[in-house]
This record gives sequence, structure tokens and C-alpha cells, in this order.
Amino acid sequence: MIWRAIYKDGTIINEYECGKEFNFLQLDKEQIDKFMIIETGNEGIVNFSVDNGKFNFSNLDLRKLEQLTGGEKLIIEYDKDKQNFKMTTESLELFKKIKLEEEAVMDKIEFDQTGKFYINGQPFHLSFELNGKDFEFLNQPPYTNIIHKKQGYTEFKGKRNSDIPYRRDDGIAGYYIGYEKEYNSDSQFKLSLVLYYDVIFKVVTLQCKIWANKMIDGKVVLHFGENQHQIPVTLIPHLPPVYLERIITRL
Amino acid sequence: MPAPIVLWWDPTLNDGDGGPTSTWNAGTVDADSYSAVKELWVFNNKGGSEAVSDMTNVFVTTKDSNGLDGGPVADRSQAVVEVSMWNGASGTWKSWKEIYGSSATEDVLNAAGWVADGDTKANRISGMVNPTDPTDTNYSDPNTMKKYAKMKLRLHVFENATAGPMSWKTRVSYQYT
Repeated sequence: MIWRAIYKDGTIINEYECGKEFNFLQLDKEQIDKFMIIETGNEGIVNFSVDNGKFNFSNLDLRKLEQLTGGEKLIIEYDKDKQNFKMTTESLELFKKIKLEEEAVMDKIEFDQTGKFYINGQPFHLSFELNGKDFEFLNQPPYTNIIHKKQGYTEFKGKRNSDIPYRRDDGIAGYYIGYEKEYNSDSQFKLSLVLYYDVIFKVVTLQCKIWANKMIDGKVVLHFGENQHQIPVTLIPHLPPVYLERIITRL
Repeated sequence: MPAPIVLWWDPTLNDGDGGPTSTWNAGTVDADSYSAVKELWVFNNKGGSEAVSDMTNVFVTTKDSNGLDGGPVADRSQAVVEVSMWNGASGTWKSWKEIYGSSATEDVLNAAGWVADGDTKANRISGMVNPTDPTDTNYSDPNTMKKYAKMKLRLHVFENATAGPMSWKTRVSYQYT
């Protein structure tokens, strides 16, 4: 997955473009209309056999492959500084021409300047119910205090009572997308609203911190598609925020 | 910012000069006993000439072969990995602590005891280019010490453990932008 920002003037900025990274910290956040994490079809789809030397890509467009003449080359070179193999720029451009470009089938989590999230198109947002009145955490732009992180890991794998050496693996276990936002109604709320996408289980989890400037007994309401789920909370000023974690859906 | 470039470092290799490693061979460990202690350092961007993201909220635990909290180690059913972390703030090794699955983890602390702005703990490993020790080979340099963490690991095999091989993963998890 990569992050993608769409500016108000329609400019699209991807985390990676032809192998070059755009620094997240250099985004002009005031110009952002939508921010998303999106599966680009470039991860988890390459199967390489060291036995026969074959790469099996599972995301190529058969119609585009028909147009190749044969003998086209994808060159992979070692980057000593970053300790990884990487396609050359020319090869990456060729690969992009033949890969499947069907964004409709790609997993995507996004939010816009209403503060509403869309998880593969399904809307998600929070509200706060107090004395029968529902205050929606929406529609107070800008939503530009963006939170985006990756959950990485590095590990050894192996066995006890065995001569087999331990093997090292590195990877990304998940992605965080969300924002921090203050809301003003009868009370003042501060919200850190983050969705975590677990790559292995393909599960989306809400990780939310909520503060208020006065003591409130109420309910946080989760709205996902047509469904609602209420969580009773007591917010107390000057204490640490209330932390909520709930599984929302599986992609 | 580029992703962290993580390097596992064995300080005992090359006659004590240390070297990169991808092995921790616990060897044969009988039931009701401990393996030998293995010291490992975790570097970010060692000697790098371009800054990469800091590793933040770093912690260590164990997982089963599928990356889950299953046995025989990550669920603590037959054995458990114990870790002792170098506490850069006090300059001492912390006491041994069991780590397993999602429920028992240990913060990985940078060797400097450095707590960055906005952090509450020293469980951040810097990805900066080192201005005072560009090759990151002076392990007592204050900046270099922000770029690595030191830990000791050992495997404790319980009395009820079955004989034979045992699989698990020792995992360091972190966040980055």
C-alpha cells in the first residue's frame, strides 16, 4: 500500500512515483482535499522461485502482455546503501505499463475534508450522544493534522535443538491513517481518530483517543455503512484521554 | 522520508569489532534449562549518508512461525524468550523479562537513553546521518548511541517441554512515517 494525497486543485501526489519517494512531511497539508492509503497492486504479488529462476507476477494485464514482442527485460539491481534489490527506473516504467490498473478492485481507506472516512467506499465516522442529542464529529474543516505511519517489523525465525540457522525477515505489518481534530459544541472535544489496517489479517481497527474540557457521561457512536455501535464513556478533564479500540471490518 | 534501514549487529563477531548478523543459534537447550545469552544490537541506518525515518515505539516480542501468538514459545506453553535491555539513561542492564506474543512485550530503548521531543520514553531509534561519527563505529559517541539499541536474549525451556526442534520468531516492531 502507499499513501496518496489529492489536493484541492486536483493534483495527485503518490508516496511513490516511478520508484521515487515523496516525503510525507513535505506535503502541503493545507491544500489536501483527500488523503488515503491504497493498495496499488504492487505488493504481495510476486512469487520468485530460486529453483527455476522464474518470477510469477499475479497482477499483470493479459491484454497488455499480448502486445509485448518477447525479450523485454526487467532489470533488478542491488542498492548497497539501502540493502535491497530494486527495479531500474526504465524497468519500473515497463512494469507499470503491463500491470493491471483496475483501481476499483484495490483496497482503499480514505478521508476527505468533511472528516468522514471511506473504507472501500463504505462511510465511517464517529458521533457523541449526550442526553439524547447526537453531536457528529464531522464537517469542521480543515482536517489537515494528518496521522500516517507504518507498522514495521524485523525478526529472526528459527528452531531450538536444530542446526538450521535462524532466518531474518523484514516487512510492514500494517498502516495507520487518520487525523487529530478539535470540535466545539456545548463542550470542547479533542479527537485523535486513527484507522489501523492490518496487512496480515486484512482487518481495519479503530484506534481513537478522546478528550473533553468538562466531565461528560455519554456514548461514542460508531457509524459504519448502515450500522451503528455505541460505546459508553466518561470523559474527565485533566485525566488521560479515553482510548477506544474496536475492529471495524475486514477488507 | 525513506523507511528505516534496520541492521542486526552481533558485537562479538570479528574479534569483538562486531558485524552484521542474521542468526541467533540458541543451539541445544535441554528441558528445564536456559540457553546461552546472546547479545544483539539493533541499528537504524548504520553509517548511512542519507537520513531515514526514525523507528518509533519500538518493542520486542516473540511470534510463532506464522506471525501469530501461538506455541510453543509465543504462547509461553513450552518455553519463553527472556530479554534484558540496555538502559542508556542509567547505564545498566535491565533485569530479565519474559516476552511472548501480544501480551508480554518489552520496550527497545536506544543506547543513549535519548527521549525525543513529543516522546515519553526512550524507545526511539534515530535514522539520522551522524554528524559526529559518520560511520557509526564509535559506539560511545552520543549521536551513535541514539541510532542503536542493545539487548541480551536467552531461551528458557520449561520442564514440561517436548524434546526436539522448536520454532518461533523474535520480532522487533516499530512505527515510522
